[in-house]
Amino acid sequence: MKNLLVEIENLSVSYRTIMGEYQVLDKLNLSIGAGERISVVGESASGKSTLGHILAGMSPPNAKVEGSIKFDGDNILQFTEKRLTNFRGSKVFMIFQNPLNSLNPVKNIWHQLFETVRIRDAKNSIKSSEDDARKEVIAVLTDLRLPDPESILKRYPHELSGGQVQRIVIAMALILKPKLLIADEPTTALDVTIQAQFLDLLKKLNSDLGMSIIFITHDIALANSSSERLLVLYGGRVIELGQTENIIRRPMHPYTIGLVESIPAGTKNSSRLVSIPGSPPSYKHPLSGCKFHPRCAKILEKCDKIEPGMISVEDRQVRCWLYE
Amino acid sequence: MNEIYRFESVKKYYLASRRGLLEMALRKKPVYVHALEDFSFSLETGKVTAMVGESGSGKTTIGKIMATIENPTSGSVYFKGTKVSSKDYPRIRKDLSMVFQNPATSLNPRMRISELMSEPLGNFDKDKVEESLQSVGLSFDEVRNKQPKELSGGQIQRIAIARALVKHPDLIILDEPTSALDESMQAQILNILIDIQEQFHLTYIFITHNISVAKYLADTISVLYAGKLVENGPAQKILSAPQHPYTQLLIKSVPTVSSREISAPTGDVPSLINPPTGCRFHTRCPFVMEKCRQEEPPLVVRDEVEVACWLDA
Ligand SMILES: Nc1ncnc2c1ncn2[C@@H]1O[C@H](COP(=O)(O)OP(=O)(O)O)[C@@H](O)[C@H]1O
Ligand SMILES: Nc1ncnc2c1ncn2[C@@H]1O[C@H](COP(=O)(O)OP(=O)(O)O)[C@@H](O)[C@H]1O
Ligand code: SF4
Ligand code: SF4
Ligand SMILES: [Mg+2]
Ligand SMILES: [Mg+2]
Repeated sequence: MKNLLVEIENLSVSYRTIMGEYQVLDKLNLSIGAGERISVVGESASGKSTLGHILAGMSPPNAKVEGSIKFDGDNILQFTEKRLTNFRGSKVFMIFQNPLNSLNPVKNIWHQLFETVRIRDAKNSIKSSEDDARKEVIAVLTDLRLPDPESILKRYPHELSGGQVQRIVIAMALILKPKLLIADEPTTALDVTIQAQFLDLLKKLNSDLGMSIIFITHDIALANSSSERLLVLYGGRVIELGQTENIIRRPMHPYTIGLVESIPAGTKNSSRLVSIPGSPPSYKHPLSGCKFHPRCAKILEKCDKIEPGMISVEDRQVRCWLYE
Repeated sequence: MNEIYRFESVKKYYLASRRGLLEMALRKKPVYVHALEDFSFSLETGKVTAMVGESGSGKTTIGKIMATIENPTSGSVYFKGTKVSSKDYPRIRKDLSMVFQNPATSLNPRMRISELMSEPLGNFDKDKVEESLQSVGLSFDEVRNKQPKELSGGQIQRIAIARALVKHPDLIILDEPTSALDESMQAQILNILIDIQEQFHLTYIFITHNISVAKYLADTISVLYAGKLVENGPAQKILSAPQHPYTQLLIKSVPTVSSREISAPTGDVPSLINPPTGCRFHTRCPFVMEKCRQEEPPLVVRDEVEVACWLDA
């Protein structure tokens, strides 16, 4: 087992809205090892971004958060605003689905990367000269194989392609060297060949700097090539957790089975895709029992009454009464 | 071979829209996006043809020319054997429908489903509407008075497909119809599409950037790169033994559930305002030769597949 970096215990998150309060995440537990790559997979609204934001210390103002998140031993849920700001810039870094959200649209790339160097150095009580910063930034951009770094530095985010913007965001991570990188559907706006380049870069950050990476995606095939461990979310619950390879090769939870079978792998002539009937659960009108029971073909007597906890089976944990 | 559409050396240039005032004042010549270049292709009746390629490769442009939403800049287009001019558009439109990627924006959110379903016909034909909705697994009585905003993304896309069916077209152009959906919804829609294609003997152009989806439902695959057709032929052949270096790299960069390893070509998609000379893929191709930079490779047939590459030529 790698050294423990993050330990999430009984994390519950509710949102207050004008239509009332509803709970999204429910008593989530997860440990993240130093240098580990974990994927979080689930359909839209399953709670993936909520988990990412809370872990990155970016809890929305209307969120009610319970439980604890120990990062290097300190519970970040109890941090003061000042400590949290410091935490966000140094230990954790989040990449968003729309990379333009990570950049300031009215400042050129040089300005933003120089600012990143200054933030890092200020934390280490160093004052960096502009010359040194420029050398470092250009070295980083060259490493990322951005053509003609000097000219890129003069440009504004909207003048770059999606793949280039995402590489600028990666450059920020390379400069800040956080211990944990959270990437929330970072490749949705990218083409497949550029996505593959991006995954390569993430792998390098992981192997060269030992950065832990949480990769959030709705695409289980993408999770397959971007992580060692896989966490499947359904309706705000972790429903399966284990080695990525094992889960994809032999999913156990009926929802994960449906998810894997719904991915086209063969041709229409070999077999039809299996699709999961029904629609995802609502948080506003929570179901009793297992959140998946109205869509589950293997439903048991008690499934609509009592919600199963995480059950350890063989190489993983599964939230399903079938494995009791 | 019975073809429904044939394109001969079709070009499509768009006026580049981002022209600042200063640029317009200083530069006399307008700037064009070379979206489609010398595109020659025929679409076989009753088959599913997947158009694959990355964004900006010209997939939607081809779909729009087929749907008569855009005019080609030059070249000839034949529909059911007859050369097309703009006066034929109303007739052609009766025989085809187009379904777009984002159903939420392509359907008027304020219209009721019964109105939306009547729009393509111009009048309300209860039998046809009921039949079309039934083909996509929806009940007329349940959805007739609903508005798109009351339905889920998957249901809206089913409405869009039912709407495409209602005029009993021969050809449906599907532009990334499942890209905005979660996997489990995507599977439902793909199955519905296959069923109705077989049931009504339809011809599909299926535009997608997802190779796994193309593999699942296509009989024929056309691979586009930066406005050029680079490989075209039977789906099985192209997927099991891709010949064009771009197709090879494209297939290797797609994550799948069966393999964890992916690899990527270097570099970025080129500009279509000043496309590379010679082979448009030469800036990223691992096998580039001197000839590739200067001369454009022609599309030649090798083992039942059309390929545009100087290798082995
Ligand atoms: N700040 C917020 N206030 C209220 N509801 C929210 C907020 N953020 C997310 N939600 C809701 O919480 C649920 C989970 O959202 P999210 O974590 O974004 O899921 P995912 O990233 O898996 O799509 C959704 O129903 C979403 O609408
Ligand atoms: N109406 C338009 N005006 C200017 N450029 C356009 C227009 N429509 C498409 N383009 C450009 O033409 C190229 C091909 O676009 P498109 O056919 O939409 O590709 P794809 O569907 O493969 O992503 C792109 O570079 C795109 O920006
Ligand atoms: S607990 Fe019951 S309803 Fe839920 S997934 Fe397992 S078998 Fe299905
Ligand atoms: S023509 Fe040359 S550059 Fe183009 S794909 Fe073939 S080998 Fe590569
Ligand atoms: Mg999200
Ligand atoms: Mg398109």
